[in-house]
This record gives sequence, C-alpha cells and structure tokens, in this order.
Amino acid sequence: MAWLKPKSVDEALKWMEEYRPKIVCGGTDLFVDWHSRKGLVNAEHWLDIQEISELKQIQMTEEGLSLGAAVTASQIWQDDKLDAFPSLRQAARIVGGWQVQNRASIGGNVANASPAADMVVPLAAARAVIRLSGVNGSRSLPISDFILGPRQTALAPDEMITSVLVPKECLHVPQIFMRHDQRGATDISIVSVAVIAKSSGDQLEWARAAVGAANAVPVILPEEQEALWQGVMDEDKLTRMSELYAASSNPISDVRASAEYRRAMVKVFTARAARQVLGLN
Amino acid sequence: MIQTQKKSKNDLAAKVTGNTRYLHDMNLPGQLVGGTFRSPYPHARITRLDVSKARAVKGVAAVLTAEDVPHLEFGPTKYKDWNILAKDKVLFIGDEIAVVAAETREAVDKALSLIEVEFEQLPAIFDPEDSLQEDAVEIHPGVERNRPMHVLVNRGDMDQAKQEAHIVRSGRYHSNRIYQGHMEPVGVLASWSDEEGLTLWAASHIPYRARETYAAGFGLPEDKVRIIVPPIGGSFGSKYVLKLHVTSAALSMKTGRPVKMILDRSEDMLTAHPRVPLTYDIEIGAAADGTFLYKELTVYGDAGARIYWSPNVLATACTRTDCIYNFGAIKAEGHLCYTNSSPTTCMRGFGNAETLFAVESVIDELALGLGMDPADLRMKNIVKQGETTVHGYKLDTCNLDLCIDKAKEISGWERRNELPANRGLGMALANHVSGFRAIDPRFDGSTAIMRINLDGELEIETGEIELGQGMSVTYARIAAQILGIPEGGIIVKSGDTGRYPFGIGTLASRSTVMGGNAVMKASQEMQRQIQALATQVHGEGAEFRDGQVHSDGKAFTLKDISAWYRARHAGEEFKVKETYVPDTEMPDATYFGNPSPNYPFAAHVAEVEVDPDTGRTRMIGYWAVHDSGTIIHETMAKGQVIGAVAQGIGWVLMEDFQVEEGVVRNPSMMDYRMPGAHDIPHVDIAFIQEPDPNGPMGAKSLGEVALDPVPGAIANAIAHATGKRGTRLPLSAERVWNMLQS
Repeated sequence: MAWLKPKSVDEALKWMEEYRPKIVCGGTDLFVDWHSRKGLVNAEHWLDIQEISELKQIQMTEEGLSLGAAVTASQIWQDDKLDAFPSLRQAARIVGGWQVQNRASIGGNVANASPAADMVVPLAAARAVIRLSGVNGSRSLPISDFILGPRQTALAPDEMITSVLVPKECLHVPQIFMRHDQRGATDISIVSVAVIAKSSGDQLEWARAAVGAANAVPVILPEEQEALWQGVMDEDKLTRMSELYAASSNPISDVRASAEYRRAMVKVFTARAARQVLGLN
Repeated sequence: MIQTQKKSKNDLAAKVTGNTRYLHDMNLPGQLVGGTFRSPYPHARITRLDVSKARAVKGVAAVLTAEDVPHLEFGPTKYKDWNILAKDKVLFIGDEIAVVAAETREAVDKALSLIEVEFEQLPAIFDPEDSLQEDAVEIHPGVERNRPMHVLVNRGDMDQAKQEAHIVRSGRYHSNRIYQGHMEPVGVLASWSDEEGLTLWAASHIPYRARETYAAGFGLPEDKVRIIVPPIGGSFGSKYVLKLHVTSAALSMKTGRPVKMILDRSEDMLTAHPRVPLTYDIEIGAAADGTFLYKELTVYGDAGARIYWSPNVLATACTRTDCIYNFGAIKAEGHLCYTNSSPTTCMRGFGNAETLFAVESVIDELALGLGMDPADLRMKNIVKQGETTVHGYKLDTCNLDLCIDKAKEISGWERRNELPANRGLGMALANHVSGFRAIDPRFDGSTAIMRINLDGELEIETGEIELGQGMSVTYARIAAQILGIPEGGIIVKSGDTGRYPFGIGTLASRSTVMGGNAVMKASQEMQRQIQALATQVHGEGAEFRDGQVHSDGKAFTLKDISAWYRARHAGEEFKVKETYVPDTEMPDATYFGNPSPNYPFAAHVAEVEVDPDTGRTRMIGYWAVHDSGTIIHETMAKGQVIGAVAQGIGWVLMEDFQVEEGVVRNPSMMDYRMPGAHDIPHVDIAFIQEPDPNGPMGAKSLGEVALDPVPGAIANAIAHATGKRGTRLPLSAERVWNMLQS
C-alpha cells in the first residue's frame, strides 16, 4: 500500500495515473466506521490531498466564491469571505462535531455524495459548479450533473475535484440553511433545506432552494416550477411552494425516520426556511 | 533517580486526567485474542458444523465448539438455562456457536470466516404475547407456553372496588428495548493455570455471583475462580454476569494462555442485553374525590432467549409502584416470556421506572377526568411516614409529601395553567429500595474490613463495587466523619474476589446503605479499639479524637498507633472486620415482606415545549426533589441525579433499539441516538434530608430512584403540552407528530 501526499495538483494527477489511488482528504467518511466501509472502497493506494495548498484556498473571484476541494468545514465557518454565503457557513457549523469539522472537506462532502450531506444542500440551492481536473484536462459540471445518486458521481477514474464555485448571483443575498434532526449535537439530518432569495420591496425577484436527505440526490425544482417563487409572497404561496418540494422528494424509510414523516418535514422546513429568509414571521 | 509519585487516594482525579487503566489497557505476557462465531438466525437447528479449516489457520491456538466444553446446568438466577456454546440449536441472532483464540486479530477474523455451518431454520417468535399462544413454537424444552415465570399478586376486594369506582382510566403502555449505553464495551481477560485456577479481569459489579455462576458452568469449585474487577467504564446494569466471560475462560482453559476479548461497539450493540421491554395493560379506578380504589395490571415481559435478570425486573414491575400510592385493591399478573431475541436484562430503574411511565400517565389522565390538579391528586393518595405499605414495606421515613411541595415550589407549578402555547409541565413520583432482600435468598448485607496500614494510612476493603457512582468517596466520607481523619487520606479498595470480603454487589441501589452501614460499623469498632489500645499504651488519660491519640499534651498519629498495635500482635496489621446484616424480611410467595432497610422517594417536574409541526420535544426545565435521607456526598449525589435525568431524557425522547425479526437495525452510536449536553436543560435539585434510622449517617439510596420518575414526568409534560397521550416509548419526534396528526 502507498500513502501518497502530493504537494501540487500536477503531482497529484501524475501519481493518480501511476498508482490509480483512492483520493482521500479528511477521511471522516472513508475511514470512520471503516469496518463497514472497507467492502465498498477497494483501494490499494491512497492519495491524501490535505497538503495541496492550492486546494485549501477560499477566494472571491469574478465568477463567484471559489472553495478549494480541501477546504475544511471549520475553515468555511471561520472565514470572513463566507459572510457572502452564510447558508454554507451554517451547514458547515452543524456537520459532525468539532473534530469532524476540522478534517471534513467540502470536496469530500461532494464526492462522497451522501443523500444526507449537509454542505451539499446550500451548494445545490446555489447551483454551484464543481471544477474537476484530470490527466487529460479540466472541466466543470453543475452540481446537479455531478451528484448522480447515493455515493454515485460523475467523477471519472482519473479525475479529482479541485474546487467548488458558488455563482456570484447567490452571494450577498438573503439565505438560510436549516435541518431537522433528532438531538442537539452531532447528528445526521432527517431533512435539510437551503433557501436563497432575492427580493425588492414586497416582490420576490427570484428564489432558489434545495432539500437534502429526502431524495437520492438533493431536490431542486425544474426552472419553470422554481420560477413560481417570483412575485408577492404570502402564506398561500408558501404552502404551494413547500408542497411542490415535498412532491418532488422521494425519501426513504430508515432508522431515523419514515418516508412519510420525511416528506411532511420537507414541507415544514421549506416553508420555515423561506419564511425566515423573507422575514414573514 | 526513581521517585514515587504521591497520587490521589480516590479514583476521581485519575478519571478526569485520563490516567485510569481500564481493561483495554491491561495485557498479559503470551496473551491471545479471542473472537466469537455467532448465529445469524433467530431460531435454528445446527445441522452441520465444521471448524477444521478454521483450526488450520496460521496463528490460531484454539477453536472451540459445543463438543469441547462442559454442558452443565447453570445461570445467574434460579432459572438455569445457559450454555457455554450452542450444542444443536441456536435461540437468537448472536447466540454463540464457536469461539476462536489466536495470536492476532487477523488470524481470529480469518478463522471465523472459515467456519462452515449449516442450519435448518425454525419458526421464531419475537412478540411476548405470541410466545404464550398454545401453538407457539417451543424455545426451551419443557417450558410450558414459553413462560418461565408467572407472577400473580392479589390484595383487597377488587370486585367491590370496581363497583365503587366513580372514574376509571386505563390503557396499554409499552416500554421499549434500550441500550444501557456503557461507554466501555463489554470485555474480559481470562487466564487459567492448574495451580491457581481461573482468573478473570472483568468488569462485573456483582463479581461474587459471577464467580458462582462461572464455576457452576465449568463444574469447578467456587474458590478456583477469581474475578478481579478493573475500573468499570459505565454499566447501568449491563455488566452483571456475561457469556463473554465464560467463553474467554473456556479458551484460556483449552490453550493454557491468557485470552482477551473486547467487543467493538457494533458487536456490543448487536449482542447487547438491553432493558427488558415491558407491555402493560393497566387500569386505575378512583372515587369522585380522587381517592384511588384499585389498580389492575397485566405485564408481559420479553425475556429474550435466555434468563438473565428479567424475572427480578418483572416482579418489580408487578409490585413496586404499589408502595408509592395507596391504590386500594391490587391485582397484578406478570408473564415472563421467552422469545427469539437477545436475552434482556437489568438497567437502572429495573422494572420500576417502566411501570411508573404507565402508572404516572394514567394518574394524570385521572386528574384530567376529575378536573383536579395532578399534584393534588398525587398528594391525596401517597404513602406516609410510619405506614406499612400494601406489600409490607415499612416506611420508617417517608417525606414524599414534602418532596411534592418542594417540587411545586421550585418549578413554579402554579404557572401550569398559564403556560404559552405548546408548553407543558408534568409531574411524576417515585420510590425505590436500598438493597433488596430477595436478590440472594441465602443472605443479605455487607462486610467491611478496615485497617491502619504500616504507613499509618486508613484502608477500607469492601465486597461492593465502585462503578463510577461515587461509592468509594462515600465510604471514605463515612469513615472520615466517624474517626475524625481527613477523607483524602482514606483508601477504599474493592473488586477482587480473591482478596476482599464477600459482597452481594452493586445492584438494587444497595451500595450506600448496605456497604455504608458495614463501613460505619467498622469505623465505630476501629474507634473503640484505638481508644482501648491508647488506654493500654498511655493509661486512662489517653484519648482518641480528631484522628489522633492525645496523652499528656502529646499527639500520636495513626502511624504511631499502627506501630503500637504491631508491637503487641507479632507484627500483624491493625485491622477490624465488621458485617452489617439488615433487619429486613424476605418477601413471601405473595410478594409480601419488608425487603429493604429503607426506601427513598422523589418528586420530579419536567417542562417541555413540543414543536407542533415536527413533533420534536425540547426540554425547557427540570426539577428533581429527593428524599434520600441524609446526603453524604452532595457533589456525587447531584451527579447521580443529573446523570439519571439525562439518561431518562434520552430514553423518553430518542433511544430505541430498532429490531426487525431479531436483527438490530441500528447497532452504532450514530444510528442509536443518545442525548448530548444540548438536549439536557438545567436540572434544579433539592434534597429533603431527614436521617433514616437504618441508613449509614441516615442515608437512603439515590442511584435508581433518580431515574424512576423521569419517563412519567416527561410523558406527562408532553401530554400537557399537546393534549395527546403517548403510550409507547420513546416519544420521538415522529411518534409525537403521528399522535398530533390523529
């Protein structure tokens, strides 16, 4: 077994071609509960990207907010640049406990593609772009084209995530992340939701939302349905919109909750989040 | 240069600084690692078992099956249904079929994977009521209706009481299968030698019963088994007498080498012996003024596939709550049922907390029906100081009335009718015992040895066990107060059946009162003997006070006293040994008797807010008032109460083993949710301290009575907040949400 610690993306890509390793960053998904995971991750070699400095940058660019793949949850909630995208800061603050937050990376959270992932939800609401690098070049995919199902992504075998871009129209706009869980500390979401909304006066110009843990992939509405957020917001409309999200969810029943309860909570939390963002209380 | 460190005499500092050495930290030269091959089926006949490939694995020292171990009748209670390894039938998922000892964990895993076994599956039963059916499959040969125990209790004229009742409330209540949540998983280090016999380093807080049970399993004389108890990393009832200790012992006996087995969290939870799930059909009738006239109760207890401590839990469930309230006529029927689930056992509260969930819920329903304040209805019907209860408990002290008043006062009970929306206040009462006479019908009580060692330090040896509850600091304080010496200089030793006096063990909330009384007697005897020795050495004017002998203006320390004694006794240590035998009465066949030296009481109030959209309950406040007689060590006593309330909050709001067809679906701490600090409100605690004549320094027990009222108090608060009554634990967010939808 080789444990590879590249210092640059170029070096990482070279070694990926040479060793065909499994990429790991904080290891909080891959290595915790390793006994039940080792059957799923059949890797002989490991490529640890934690020390690639270019992947640890949080940068405000012309296109938006760029978060390197190895940026940790605790970096996210402590960095002033996240003032522009507080819904992600809120999600980063609640994922796992402090030890997990100090290791878990945004790239890992996306690549892991857990339906219950927290940080993925604001990214999905914002239509974030996942930037990938491979031996044969780089490409970008909208997050909805990247996460394909539980633990399934569009990542090619010789590719790595280098950064996540939050488009600038979602920065400095009212937004929130909320989740429903079973207890007050470290937990896994029963349902989570992020709502980002731009309004002027009593008119909603646009809103984007995503729901986590209630579907194989984060729930976002098709454009024509999402456009229904526009205009005056009242309780009737809130009910209609939250029902749309509930109807678009396809939750499972597991040890945490039944599908029926999850679907009901999608409605409750979409409406709550929207109400809070829009100051309707 | 070697410098010996002066360490604290009690266990607290070492625990806080991470220096305590638990079983995990202990290893012996030549030690092997062990592992268990378990049944994947809840009920099956073993038709073929071949371990030859497993035995051939490099590094494997032994693979044992039923053919390699004795098959004697044994078990920790009078129901002797244990085996060491399954012979031809397995009775639950996790039942032990074979065990492996090898040089490495990897070799153990490989050997386990090479064991070949074929089964013929048998119909399995998971519901206790199904197991009672005439056509139900037989789990243990010869046990009629799969019912090893049937409890019947009748007092008073039930027919007349039913005729007189003005109001009746009833229901079916379920207490669930929960994990004790011990932080340290179950483990053992076993070592056999022909000269010494069997030595087990094993966390058990009833090591003498464990010794007796294991000796019987191997047909060994009891004194050929020695159990040394390392510091226990949490038990709450899970670490009594355990199969893992027996199978490790078998491996060590076979290989002649020490064998260590420690379960990982997953195996610990998959094979856990949880709290006995109990189903209650309960009915309470009252007169128009609220006076209780009768209580009728049927209880179904799920013992699982073998008997651990479920019979004692069921008997408690059928009787204990009748000694809080004067219910009038009593009828209780208890069915203990074998099922094809992992055997169930004790957990803090032991059948009493579960029953109180049902009883306290029904009492609040009666109050609602009568239009009475639930606190007033309780006050009207409680037992009183000086009474002998319907089952014979003699209440020398009982300040339950003061507990109710104080709980009302500190919780602001008068706010109850003016709370904001979705808020609720609930009250529940509780009692418990301080030791229980029927644990061991042969004897009860405790022995303490007290010695002044050569260095002039005071040592106490006890047969009771420290499991984090504060027994050691409590015993040190009792001795310190009697002898007038600083408690920090007193060493309390326990947990070695080969070295320390016999003890029944730490269960039934008995350590403070039973062991404490023995320590008190030993301290008094030591005081008397030191005074006699001082008089012998220095004449009539010598006086022992404040931990020193004073004579002619000089003061002599314990070290001097030790030297005087040794000079007169051939170098022997100065030592006294005292036994406390409680003045209790063994309950008879009808469950009548006075089983405990004294009885603690409590009144708790919980305040909750229930989110009407999600069903999730948030604890707003909690108030606990206890009559545990004199509080000897207030810090540890408060720790017991806060810990119990936290444990109860977890039990009522989230904890649940989700089992389908005998399979635990959530065997991890991520999927089995327990509360964290964010889920626990400030717990406001008050003690009503009237010394009890039978307690050491006037103390009564506290450990379990602190948990007993919690489920009832929170359930009543939720019902008050929502107007809906939850009857099945846990009252999780989803369950309450479902209740609110209906």
